[in-house]
Amino acid sequence: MSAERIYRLLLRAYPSDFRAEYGREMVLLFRDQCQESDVRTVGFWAAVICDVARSAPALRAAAWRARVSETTRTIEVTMKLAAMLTVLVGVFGILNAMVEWGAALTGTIGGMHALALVLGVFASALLLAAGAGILRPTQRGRQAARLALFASLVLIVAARLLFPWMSIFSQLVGFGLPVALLIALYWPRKPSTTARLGTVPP
Amino acid sequence: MLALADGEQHGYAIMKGVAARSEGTMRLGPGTLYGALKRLLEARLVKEGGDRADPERGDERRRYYRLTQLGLSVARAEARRLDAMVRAARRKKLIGERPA
Repeated sequence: MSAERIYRLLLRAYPSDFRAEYGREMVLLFRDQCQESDVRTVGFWAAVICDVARSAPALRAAAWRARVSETTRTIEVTMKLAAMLTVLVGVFGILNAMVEWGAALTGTIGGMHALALVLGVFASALLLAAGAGILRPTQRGRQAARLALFASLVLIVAARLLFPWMSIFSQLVGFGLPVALLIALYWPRKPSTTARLGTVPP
Repeated sequence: MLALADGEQHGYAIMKGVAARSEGTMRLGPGTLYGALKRLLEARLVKEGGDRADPERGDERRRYYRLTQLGLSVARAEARRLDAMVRAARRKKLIGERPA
């Protein structure tokens, strides 16, 4: 097996996009090195393997960080949409509870049902506040949103326990939305997407 | 970046330049060299100057790289910083006098 063929195999240690961009140039450079060195020596191959072992993991880690950063950007956009949806659900929840309250006033309304409606209004108001908090691009806004979502979840659980005839849709929105948003808010993010420069040779 | 201060170079010329400038103490392999070039390209400190054959070697076409205006400014600033540090070290007699 020729030295160049062995080097082409070693190139597989690098990320595929890096290979596609620089693979040909690297092989040309290796060919130059082969012309100036004795490829049959251990020292030559030790230097080659050392170079691959030092640079390939770093480039793979950088490619992985870039993918995480891309995922984070996608999450940021999704969060903005989810925050707008949360505000709408909050407003809808308040209106729905008020309409239900008005309808219940025509007949008889139990104490537990009334309490569950009040809790529903508060939970919806907290969802609205959480949506507004997420839309603010500050750490304080996110922290406030987390607290509001936790509180909303607690109130919905309490309302469900007090008034078990809650609709499936209300339960899905009431439990699912805060839980999904809390997971997204606690998802690890990169603080900055600024390109990081490593040690640059002289 | 210092290797590109003289103008456009291809990978092998950069490698040789680094080895010569460091008196053989620093030898870049292809992975280390192109990894560094990738980072410099992403930071817009270096740009590609096109593909052409080296007239001295006369073989396959090679990709050339050169410093951008920003890269030149950064290299100058870094050289000034290092120069100031060396002068400070010399004043404190941490390193010897400059040879005549």
